[in-house]
Order: sequence, then structure tokens, then C-alpha cells
Amino acid sequence: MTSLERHASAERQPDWQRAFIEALTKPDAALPGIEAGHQQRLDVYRNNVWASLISALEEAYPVTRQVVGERFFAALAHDHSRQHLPRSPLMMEYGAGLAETLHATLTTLVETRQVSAAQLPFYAVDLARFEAARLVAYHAADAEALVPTQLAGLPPEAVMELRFSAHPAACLLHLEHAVLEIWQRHQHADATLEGLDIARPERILITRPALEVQVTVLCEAAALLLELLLAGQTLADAAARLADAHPEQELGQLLAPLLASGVFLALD
Amino acid sequence: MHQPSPSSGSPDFGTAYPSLDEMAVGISLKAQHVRELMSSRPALGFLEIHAENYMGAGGAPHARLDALQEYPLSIHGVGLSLASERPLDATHLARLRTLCERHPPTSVSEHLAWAGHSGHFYNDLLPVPLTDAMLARVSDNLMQLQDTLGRQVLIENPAHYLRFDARELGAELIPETHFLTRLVERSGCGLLIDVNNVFVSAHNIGIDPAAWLESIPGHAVGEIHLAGHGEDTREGLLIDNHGAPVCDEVWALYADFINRIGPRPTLIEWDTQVPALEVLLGQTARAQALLHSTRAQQLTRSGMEGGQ
Repeated sequence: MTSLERHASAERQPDWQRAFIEALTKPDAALPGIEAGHQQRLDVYRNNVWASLISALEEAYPVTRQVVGERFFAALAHDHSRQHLPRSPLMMEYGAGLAETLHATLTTLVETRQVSAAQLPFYAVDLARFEAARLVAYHAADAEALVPTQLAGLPPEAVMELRFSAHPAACLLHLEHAVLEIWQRHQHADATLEGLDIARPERILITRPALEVQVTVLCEAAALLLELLLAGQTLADAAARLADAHPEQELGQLLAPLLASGVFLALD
Repeated sequence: MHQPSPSSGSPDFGTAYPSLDEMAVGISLKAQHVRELMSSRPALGFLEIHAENYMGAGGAPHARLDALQEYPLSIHGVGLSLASERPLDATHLARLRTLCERHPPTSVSEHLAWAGHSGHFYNDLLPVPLTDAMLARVSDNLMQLQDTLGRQVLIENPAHYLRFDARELGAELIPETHFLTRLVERSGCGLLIDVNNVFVSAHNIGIDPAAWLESIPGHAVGEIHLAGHGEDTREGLLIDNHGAPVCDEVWALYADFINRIGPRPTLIEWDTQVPALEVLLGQTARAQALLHSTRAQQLTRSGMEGGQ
């Protein structure tokens, strides 16, 4: 091979992998460089790639899939995988935006097919957000969480001047639906949502103080307190704001479940 | 201890790191088997993981490896795209190094394949026309990988589903075993020979699996994979799905291969429709028995030679 030919070949090669990728999305596309009789065998790769992405989404969203049904989920995952290819080889991160794709899909159904929103499980969008957040927490960095006994040894004035940092696995979700109970009921095969007020807004705190992901439902005041503390306010300042917004609430009662959840990093 | 030795003149990573025992038989580590592995602690030569499944920041996957660290660990990458026409992804390379520092492996391997393009990842081992230009590319990438990790890396032969057309590619195609041999010479890498992939490829693209294995330089082989496959009846293809027991033909090819090159660390690979641990242990027992009988034959042979 002359240097000119080698240069030409090197120039041509990058195009070949790009052409291969393009052929993956076109069922009948022929790809130069493959024997004529073997062109249809590109289907093996077409099948492997899309099936593996769909299966990754199925694994990440088992309850969302149960709620919307396997066939609907397969179509959703098919659309999502074509619109959003993985950006890295870390498949544990794949599918983070599925809730948005699901919301867009349901909205389109309402807009184009005259299906009323009430007939569609819009709560599954929140459920997908919840399942995605649980996965993120599952793989989050390890760190020692603050435990209530760490504060017990401090004088009360010192506690009021503390500032808290979020544990790396902690995440607060504001959802429009009673997602935790929906999720819990679907841990059993014959799940029904009978007697459940689905449209009840829920503030869900996800934590992972050790290896198990934990979920705590917060009242509005506790969520506010948490957000103030995670924004860097001292406990004293946050308590003052809380007294304005929720004069009926008692600080200690709101703080206890937060401390127990492992949402804060251990003190230095 | 067996250590694949690079040919003279190529980079030598020969002494700075451990390697798997040549009689070791391992399994792919699956989350559903962890509890049983921890309680029954079966005699396994090593555990193999897909590197990318353990690249999260923390949590249960890492705790699992810590709890099972008495077993030698083989880190098997599926996402580095060594055969990409683009440079290696520096971020991913750094992730792999971090993983090897956190859970020091006894063996590291990757594939002769690509899986990413233009910032996207396709989660499959995509095929590579084996040309001179690709040999240079993969060899450079492998050397960069080995320099980064400070150790030799084993490279695995993929399963093939189609034949390339050299004329249309505008470049001569190198037979796969020659390509692998030259890769070993150029980069100092070792080889991970997947006997099921050889069998599947032989069926799909018409090569002789025994002859293919015959032309692999035994000194370079640092590990062997055994797996089951499925069938695509529409196209008459065998599919490397790692979802079935190792078939008899693959056992026979394996027995002949180790009889020629000597015992090598061997993995039972089972990634889809994962069975109960005891089913995997049944497969490892069969591999172990073949390694022992190979070892016995070797000893008999060397004993006879010694007696002459």
C-alpha cells in the first residue's frame, strides 16, 4: 500500500463506522464493505442494539412498566431509545429522562387521539421520576450520614448554629401523585389502586445512609425545613422562617424524621 | 502461575502484577448469586465482572466486591471501543483505572470490537474489518490502555455474524488469528480466547473452528471463555447470547485447545436467563475436570520425556 493509498484508506475508514451506525437505524439499508449475501445479517446488530437498550429501560423502570403495561412500555422504550441514545457506556445511568418521554407521549395521545387525560395514567410519569431517583441513590457515592446521637452530645445553642450538608445519595422529590403507596402496592403481583387517592401531592425524600435505599414521605413543613437547611441556613435561621410559614409546627418533630433518614452528611 | 509472555521486542508488563492461576475456573458474578456465594463460599478460581456495571460512585455493587474479595477478580470491559476509529474516550479510560485501583483485579480484559461513535454508546460489540489500518489503531489503543493501567490486558475475539467485502472496503483483510497474533507482537497484549465465539463464528461465516484455534499462539493465551448460544432460525445464524449451557461441540474444542496449549484460567459466562448458582457450578466442575485431565496428561508426557 502506498502512503497515498494508506491515507485514502484511513480517510475512508471513519466514514465506515458512521455508515454502520446509520444502517442500524434503517431496516433495509445496504452497507458498503459487507458481502452482498450478508447484508440482511446486519439485523443481528440492529436487534442486539435496540433490544439491549429497551431491556435496560425495562430493568430500570419495573413498576412504571407494570402500571402502563408491557406493550405500551415496549413502544415507549423503543421511542425513547431512538431519541436518546446512551451518552456513555455506564448503562446504570441510561434512561434518566424516560419520565419526560412518557409525559410527552401521554400528552400527544390526549392532543391527537381525543383520549381524555383522566383515562391515561399520568401518575406513571411521577412513578418513573421516583424509580429513576431510587436508582441514582442506589449508585451514589458512599458517605457517613449524620445520626441523631451525633447531636445529642452538643449544647442546644451549638446545635441551633449548625449548618448541614446533603449526603451524596439524598434527593427530595416534589410529586403530584401519591407515588410511594402506588409503588409499594405494585411490589405484589396482583396490585390494585383501589381506595387510594392517587392525585394527592407527595414530597418524597430518598436517602441511602448505608446500602439500602430508604424513602420518607415529608409533610410540607418538613420539606421546607429540609430545603432551608440544605440551602446552607443555620438551624436557628431555618426555624425562624419555619415559624413564619408554619406557626403550628414544632421544630423538633419536623427535624426528627429528617435526622433519622440519613439525609445529612455526618459532622466533621 | 501462568503468565502470557509477550514476544521479545514488545512491551513487557510481565512481573508487576498478579495473574490468574492456570487451573482456575470462574463464573460471571451476578447480583442474584451474591447472597449464596457469601454463605456457601464455593471453591471458585475467580469471579469476573463487566467493568461498566461497577463504575457507579458507590453503594451495593462495590460492597459486593468488597465482601467477595477473597476470590481473585477478573475485570472484563465491554465499553472501551478499542476498535473505534476515533481516539479512546479519556473519561472512560480514567473510570477503568479508578475501578482497577479500587478493586485490584488479577486479570483485565477487553474486546476486539467497538461500541461507541460520536459520543453515543450502542451497548453491543460491533464488528470490525480487520485491516492493516485497524491493526495499527487497535494496537495503539491497547498500548495506551496498558500504559494507563500499568499492566497487560487480554483481548477477546468477538462472535461474527457477517463477512466483509475487501474490495468494497478498499483494503486487504487480515485473517483474524493473524490479526490477533500481530496484535500480541505489536502491543504486548495477551489473548482471551472465547471458544463459543469461535464456534458461533465458524457456523456463521464459514471458518474451521479447530483450524482457527490451532493457529492461535498458545503462549499468548491468558484466559478462556466458555458460554452457550442461541439460534436465529430466520437467518440460520447462531447468536452468542450467553444464555444457555456450553454445548458439547464447544466442550470438545476446549478440550483439544487446552490439550495443545496447556491449562488456562477458564470462565463460564452466563449473562442472560441466568440460572441458579448450582447450575453454573455444574459447568465449572466440568471445565475443572478437563483442566485436571490436561494437567495429568502434561505430567505424564513430561515424566516420559524425563525418563528417556
